[in-house]
Amino acid sequence: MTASRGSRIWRPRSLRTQLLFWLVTLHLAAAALTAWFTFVAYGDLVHNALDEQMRLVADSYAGSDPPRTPRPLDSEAVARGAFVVQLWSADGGTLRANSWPPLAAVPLHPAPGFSDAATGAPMPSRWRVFTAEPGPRADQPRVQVLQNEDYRRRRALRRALLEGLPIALLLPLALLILWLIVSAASRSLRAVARDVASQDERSPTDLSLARVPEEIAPLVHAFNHLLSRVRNAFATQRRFVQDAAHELRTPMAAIGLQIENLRAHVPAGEATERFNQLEAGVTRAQHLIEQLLSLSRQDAPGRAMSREPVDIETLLRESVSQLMVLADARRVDIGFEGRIAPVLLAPPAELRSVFDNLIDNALRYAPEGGVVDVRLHEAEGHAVVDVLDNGPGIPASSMGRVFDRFFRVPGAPAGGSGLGLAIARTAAERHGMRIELRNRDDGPGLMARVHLTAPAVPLTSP
Amino acid sequence: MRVLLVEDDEMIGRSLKQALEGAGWSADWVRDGELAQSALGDGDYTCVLLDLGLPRQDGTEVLRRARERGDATPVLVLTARDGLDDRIHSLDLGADDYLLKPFEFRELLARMRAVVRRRDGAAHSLIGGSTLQLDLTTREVVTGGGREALTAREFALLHALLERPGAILSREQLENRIYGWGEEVTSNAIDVLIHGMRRKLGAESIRNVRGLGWRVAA
Repeated sequence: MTASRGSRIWRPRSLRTQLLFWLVTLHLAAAALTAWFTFVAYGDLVHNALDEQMRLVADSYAGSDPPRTPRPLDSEAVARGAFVVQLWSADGGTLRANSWPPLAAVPLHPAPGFSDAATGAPMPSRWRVFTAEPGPRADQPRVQVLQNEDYRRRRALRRALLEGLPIALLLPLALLILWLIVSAASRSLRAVARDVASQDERSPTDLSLARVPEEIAPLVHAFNHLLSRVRNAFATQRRFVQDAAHELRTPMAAIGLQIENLRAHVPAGEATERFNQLEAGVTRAQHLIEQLLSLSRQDAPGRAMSREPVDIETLLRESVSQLMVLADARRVDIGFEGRIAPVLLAPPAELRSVFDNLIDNALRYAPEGGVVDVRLHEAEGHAVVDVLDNGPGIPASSMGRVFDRFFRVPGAPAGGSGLGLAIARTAAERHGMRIELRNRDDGPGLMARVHLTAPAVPLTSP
Repeated sequence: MRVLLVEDDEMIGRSLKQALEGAGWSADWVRDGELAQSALGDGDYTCVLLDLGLPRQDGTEVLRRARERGDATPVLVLTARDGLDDRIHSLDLGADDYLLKPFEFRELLARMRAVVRRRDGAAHSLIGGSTLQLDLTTREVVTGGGREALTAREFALLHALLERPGAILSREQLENRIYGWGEEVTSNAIDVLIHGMRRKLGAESIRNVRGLGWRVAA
């Protein structure tokens, strides 16, 4: 509910505040207007009716012969609107009778008819005055009737307030109803937002329209429409990756077989050496294609992969087993050290992709006959996997770019695709893990540390 | 040994046929699903190498019909598609194994041997990798240099290691496989056993992986 910057007019961003503001304003205005109109119209009505009564009272006194004596009144009755009757001598000089003596201050009005007067004491007030016509006989007393004007106003005001009151009283009820409706609407908006937020970006599903108000439905419809287009785009991308996989692997398989067939026919000497170079080139191309395919598989959103409890030690054992061919080829001594046995909830294939790529990298960058260590232990308060090699490490100038696709450290050994770290990082981050790279401080080489902060499976007693 | 090769790609088909013949197999090569179907009906094959994406009749359809007819010829599916669904589907339909292109030819031969052995049961009870094999009937180890008899524990050790050549087995896993329940195992029993085996078969036969255990090359 902050006012928008740069604007002097307070413009609340909350619909609820806006509605509340206008509803309160509208109700108060309606109540005030009703009261005002009632005050004016009713005031007129009361005024005319009471004037008529005053005339009748005056006439009854003027017409009575011998003249009646007005009944005395107390102040309270006068304040409540009782008529005060004054009988004056015909010349208006002497007040002969008065039903409320304090009002002697108001003299006989020379002209007959209605007029207004005001007194200071004993009751600071304004008065409505009716002065009757002089009688036919000269000795007949003059009659003047007075009524408290404030009483009239009070009556009209009370009536006006009574008329305005129901509207004012409805205000809290209206506010309550408004609050409930807005709450329900914002609840369903929040539910929609929750639905949107919990979408798996790799396989979005339609939002439910079940409890969505009609006004929000177009938004949800539009969003579902967008989702279906996203799904189509994903499906197209997925098909493309599958087709590309097929189209790339088939010729690579054929070339691999032809090289195999050629092997027996290559004469010893320089030809064998060149044949080996060819074979290494083909192996490298195959590796690159597989890395490219796994990269595009990561990008192409498929079905959400199911998480299951994965014993990290077993997974690392399998990963190392699979990479022993590379380790043997480069005569790298690979070792494992497991101090803890964490179990993580994640898709096993994704975890394999993280560790396969990191260990593969270490085996490629370790010198021929070098050492690679895989350590599973606890650091910084959680389980980590360290993959250490004794290769050249990464120069500080390249450290920021090593996760970029196709980036290869200048002077790096041949055979890598430049994609391994990118693939590992994407897979790790998707499952809440983090990869940290740093050069070892206990000698040459690189340490890749995977922080296993994905949801762990609670340990159950055996 | 006859193998039926079903592959529509000319390059792969021709090279694979050559390679198979070089490895001592007699290979019949057909290029589409319907021809594969009739070849399977006529011939008596030791093994079938089946590509999935075929003209005229899909590879999975060939497989399904063969199994419906009661044809039990071992089938190894070769495909460039790596979708998990494809893999599970073809295994469900009765494929014996599944190999993703591109593959190492040596691995293909090993898998072919494995599926054939599984079908034949005890008749060809040779397990193992490219350098070291184990004959389960005679309980002998087979190397390039010939056959050699094994003691019960040596046999149990190699059996464990050669079931999945290349897999690394820990000391605990090996002890469980070699020694019975309640049997007293001295702390260096496995080391002594492996030391002995290396003397027999060569130092490189059983490799140690620091911290993980032992393995034989695939």
